[in-house]
Amino acid sequence: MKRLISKYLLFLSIGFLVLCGICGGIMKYPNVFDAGYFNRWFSTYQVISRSNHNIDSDTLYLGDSVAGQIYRPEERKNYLAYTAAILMPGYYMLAANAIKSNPNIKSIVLISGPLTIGYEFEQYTTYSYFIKPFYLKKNFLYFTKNLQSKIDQYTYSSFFQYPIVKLAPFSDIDCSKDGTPNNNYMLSDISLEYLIKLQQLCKENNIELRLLSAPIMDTYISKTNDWQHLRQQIKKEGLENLFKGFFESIKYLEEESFIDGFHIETKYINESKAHLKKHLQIATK
Amino acid sequence: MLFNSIEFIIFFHLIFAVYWLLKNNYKQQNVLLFLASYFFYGWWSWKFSFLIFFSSIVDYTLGLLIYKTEDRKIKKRYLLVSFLINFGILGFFKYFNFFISEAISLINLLGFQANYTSLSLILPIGISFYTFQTLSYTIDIYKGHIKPTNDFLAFSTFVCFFPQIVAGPVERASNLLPQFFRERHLKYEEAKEGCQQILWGFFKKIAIADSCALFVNDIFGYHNYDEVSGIILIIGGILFAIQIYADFSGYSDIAIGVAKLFGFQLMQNFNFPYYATSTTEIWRKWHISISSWFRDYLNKPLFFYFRHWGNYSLVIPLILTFTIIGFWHGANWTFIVYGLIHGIVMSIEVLSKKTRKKIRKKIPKWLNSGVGWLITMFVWVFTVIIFRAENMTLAVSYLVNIVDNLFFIDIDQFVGRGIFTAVNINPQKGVALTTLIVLMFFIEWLNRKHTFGFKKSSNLAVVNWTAYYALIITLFFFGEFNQQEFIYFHF
Repeated sequence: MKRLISKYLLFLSIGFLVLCGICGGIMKYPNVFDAGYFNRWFSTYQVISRSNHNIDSDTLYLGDSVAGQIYRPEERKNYLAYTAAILMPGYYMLAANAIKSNPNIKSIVLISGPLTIGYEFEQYTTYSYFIKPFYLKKNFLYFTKNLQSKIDQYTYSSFFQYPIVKLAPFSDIDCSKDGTPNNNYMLSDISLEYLIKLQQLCKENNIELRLLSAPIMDTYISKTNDWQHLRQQIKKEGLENLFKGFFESIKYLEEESFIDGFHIETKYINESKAHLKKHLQIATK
Repeated sequence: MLFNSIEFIIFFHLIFAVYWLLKNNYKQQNVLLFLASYFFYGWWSWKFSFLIFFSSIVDYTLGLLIYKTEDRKIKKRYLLVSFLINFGILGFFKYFNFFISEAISLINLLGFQANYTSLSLILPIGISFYTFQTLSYTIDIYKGHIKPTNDFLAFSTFVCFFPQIVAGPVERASNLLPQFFRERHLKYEEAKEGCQQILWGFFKKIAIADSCALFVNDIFGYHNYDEVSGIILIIGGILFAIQIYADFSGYSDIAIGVAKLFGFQLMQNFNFPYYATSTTEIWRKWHISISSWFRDYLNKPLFFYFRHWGNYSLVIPLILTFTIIGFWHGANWTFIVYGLIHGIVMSIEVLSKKTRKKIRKKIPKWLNSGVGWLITMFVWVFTVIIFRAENMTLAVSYLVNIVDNLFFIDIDQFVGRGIFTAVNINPQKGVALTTLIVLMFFIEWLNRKHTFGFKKSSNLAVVNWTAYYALIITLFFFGEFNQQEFIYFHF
């Protein structure tokens, strides 16, 4: 029995060290690997890593997964558009890191549908896509009290810093609560807070921030009464300037154009890209 | 509690530690196993624990009564009571709604009006497994093969033994029960073998079965099969065949490995069935505990009953037995048809035995084995498609569209876009999974003479440890840890 226990403990210890080493290596150079082989959230580490490097452009693109279909992050260094699951604080931290590493950035384009732009913190994917990847020492200064208190709800949050915990595939926690991911189709508290922070960050660095919408299903026009609540909230918060041209940039597509209700079919990508390009030019003027 | 959960890992380590602290007293170990097993089962639903307890009391009592009675007729009555109670419980929870709804459909078909709202019954996990295990106890006593036990605790622990209660292997009392009455010792080599088997089981379940499930669920779940390429549908069928094998044999490996660490030897449940060259051979190697149960307690008596019917004495028992095996899986026509087809194919194999033997002599062995394997796998994949489909209409649609859409190629479907959700499947995952599948079958091929697929080990510890770490790293990075239930939990 003693032999068994000692060998078992030795086996576990070596295994743990080996895994720590491999995870540390992967975390340091995530872009060496093809994200397709890994879990779905692995790409988050890749865009975080990219945000810390030279992006070779004066424009940075951020956005949700539909924007990620249009501006695929693996195609260009300045496309960090990937998924709305990283939430508005995630977009903010990507932008803040990119600005630090790239003083040449003159404009940031955030492409997010009117639904995803307001995502609440409490989502099924928040733990894997936001908490674990963004819980890094260097990001702590970007954490507001509100955000910190939400993260602190998850016990052992200090372990989130370690690569083996970040990459552990079996530790997912469902952070969702009852209700839709975006109650009342408005900006959530966390979303509003970080959108304002993003606006300030850009202002401080003389960067132009443009908001554009990713394509969305046409059924939302009637469902949201043409985004009545969101429009009212924008007005109330004095964000009209920031959202100038945002609603005009929404490309409504029929239900059949979507794979799963959110993501567009491949054949609509070029058309959507052209539409965004046109609105980007309008916004620039 | 699922084997592939953190809760189980904690539970297992705790019970293991306490169990071996009590190593000098097997009775105390039995008490611990009894409590641990009910805790394990109760984690899913404590209410249904009472059902197992009730079943244990019934068969324990009836076992004693059968043994004590001299009168053959009364013995038979007691056995009948055991059948009625066990099948009554199983029938109520598993088949009640099916029979009633089918009867209502028949009445409506005959032109009468009948309505019925199905009862919302929850199927107790593992009911088909422990019911057959306890039944074998009373049957074996009736037949005089074993003597009943007076130790209720040992008997009820035999019924609810946690490594195998929810999905087998369905143990015979003659094998497992006596092990509760002797001191258990943990030998280093046996413990090592148990750990190897558990690791291999986890690899098959998490890296292979659950990864296959991503593709399989996407393909089978898309019900408009007329829009899907025939090749994708074939891939879906093959992947499900691999999934069900990796899932179920993976579970069996974990169960057997865990039991070994507690000093118990469970029966082998899979013997590398996918290397079989006939359907008959596959069934000798697939889910051995249940197929041998039906062979001993149903097929043999039926064969005896029909023994004067010439060729029919072989065919009728086979078709009946396998149709019932199909139905054992669940209350759905898809399972019945699955079993029926296997019964028919095996009947053809039995009847054509002489002719095939003549042909075998004329062609090279490798060709014979190759053709046999291809036909066997064709039949197997064809039938598991029916098995996996939600109903017969969808099963037929799936199969028909394989043929109709065989030459319809939509490249988007192959790269995880188009009608399949890009979030779940992509070509890289396909490449990784294919590599892992090839690796699994290759390793199992090397171990095909052993009792499980990862038994062979090198004399050099460094080689063995490297292999273990390689499996763990593969699991860590390529496994699907979404805690999918084992498929056979639902049967």
